[in-house]
Amino acid sequence: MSRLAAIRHRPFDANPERPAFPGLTDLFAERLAAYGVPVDHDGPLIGNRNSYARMSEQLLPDLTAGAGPDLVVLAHCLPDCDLSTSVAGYLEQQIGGQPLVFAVTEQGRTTPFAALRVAQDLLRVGGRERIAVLVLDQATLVYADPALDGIDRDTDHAVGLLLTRDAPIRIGPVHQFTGVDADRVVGALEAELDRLRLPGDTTLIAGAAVPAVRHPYRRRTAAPQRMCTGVWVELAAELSGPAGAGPRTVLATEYEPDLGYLSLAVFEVPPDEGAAR
Amino acid sequence: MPAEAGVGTNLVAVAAYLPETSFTLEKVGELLGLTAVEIRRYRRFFGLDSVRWDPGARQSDLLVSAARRLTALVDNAHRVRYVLHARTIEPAGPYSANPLHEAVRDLGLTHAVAFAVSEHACASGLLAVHLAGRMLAAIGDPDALVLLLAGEKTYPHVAQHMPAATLMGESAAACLVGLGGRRDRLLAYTTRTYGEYNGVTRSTESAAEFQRMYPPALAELIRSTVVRAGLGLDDVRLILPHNVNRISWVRVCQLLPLPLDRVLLDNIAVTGHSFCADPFINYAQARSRGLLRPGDHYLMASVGLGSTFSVMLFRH
Repeated sequence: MSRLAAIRHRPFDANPERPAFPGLTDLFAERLAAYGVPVDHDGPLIGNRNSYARMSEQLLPDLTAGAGPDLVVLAHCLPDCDLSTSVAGYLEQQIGGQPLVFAVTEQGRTTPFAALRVAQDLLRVGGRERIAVLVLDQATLVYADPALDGIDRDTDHAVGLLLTRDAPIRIGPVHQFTGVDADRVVGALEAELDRLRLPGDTTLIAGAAVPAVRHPYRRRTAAPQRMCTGVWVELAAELSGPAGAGPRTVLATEYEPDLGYLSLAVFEVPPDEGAAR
Repeated sequence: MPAEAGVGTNLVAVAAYLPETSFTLEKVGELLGLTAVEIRRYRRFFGLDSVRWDPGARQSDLLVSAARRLTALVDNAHRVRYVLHARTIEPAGPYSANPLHEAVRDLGLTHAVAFAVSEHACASGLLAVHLAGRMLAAIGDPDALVLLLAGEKTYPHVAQHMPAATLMGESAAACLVGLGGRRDRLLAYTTRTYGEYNGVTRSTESAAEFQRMYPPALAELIRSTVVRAGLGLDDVRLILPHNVNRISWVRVCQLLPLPLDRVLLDNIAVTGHSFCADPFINYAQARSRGLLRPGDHYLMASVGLGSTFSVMLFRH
């Protein structure tokens, strides 16, 4: 059983240090050549230049309130802008306690759900007690990609979730469905909602590509310009809102149309409880 | 980090893909800008001689080629619940390319949930075995399997900035991980990250210091892994190493101490260092040569820049 002890959202404006990230363009030029995708060798590096190491370092103290995690799982779908630094090594130095640190990537916008699933498994059968899942979007990129048109270039985002076994908010098992074509999303999601039998006052926090469903849940839709943090920014906002007198249920769901992945996770919030406080 | 008790994780089957095209050290040296002196040093001192590359292949092709050699996958594809790609370097192409998912489609495994794991650099392969076992234990289905894929394209820019003296190769590996089987049971996994060496390029000031600490750190991790499992070094039949170079293993063996012939080093001069795939490639060779007998204990060992040292102890 995994439970949510805290959730934090931290936006990042331009990194004032403006690191140059030497070699970044060359590295991507080699990797993209086989796909016929050019990189911009001559123009200035566009973006806020927030590396995942920097974002994680700044998010973790607030998320963990000084009590270090024994596992940190990074979740991102956009590549880091600093590929000369190991985030695992950097965090090992910054937060102490020698936590296991690794990253889960390459599942598009549903990547955080995969990371959350792994974290739940390691909490359940991996001997871990206190797990930080850090969902990260940075948009300092050296190439253009049609799938990334319109992403948020002004602000990078990080959302941290702290999982323990005994916190108030229960996290249900993550469900990930594959091979869900766009014309099947509604049916697949409604079938799963039928199966889950959630209370009528459930809040549905949905990625921008998640279509409307017949269930009468209150809906919060994630900003489409955020990649994998969108749903989790909304979840952090929802859980930091006024606590209710009774229990409430929040369902986070995201759809990645390019891969056909549909993901869901249920958060059961007891009365008078806000995870972000 | 202490060794973690296993949950019954085992290697069901392992296959390796070694591209047919072999490039000599001299040819690679031209591409990487190695001098004649460096080429002589690479060969005589580091035990490097040639490397296998697949110039026409893209990232997904390497993974598919390895998985297609996994004969056990044919009849067990329906049992695969996850496909993990263990990555040394996370970006493998443009965002839209999704090479892992392209491979999953080609292999007919779209029913499985796929993602990549990284941040342990070349030690991410052993991390992936560990995660696979835990994920299977959480599922609770004894028939469920995880397909682990390892192998990456190599590029001059990365090779030129690697602080280690090595040749990066494009060989790949595929491994079916299961739970509860008797074959190749995982007994212990230990991993330690030395964060003071978090820079991963040759230009970092700590590179020289990392070279100095590497042999004793790896020797200590190997020793502690074996001891915590209640065994001694004499009980270890074979070490299946990462193929970074020969001299580093000579030093590790001197420190342990362990006879050098207990480390399967033959592939260093053939494949070069194939990112996360080396221990699995060496396993496949050990099996094909009959180097492992039933009941033998063996180790897989990898070090990733950044710097993560990992050791796994198995019983064959």
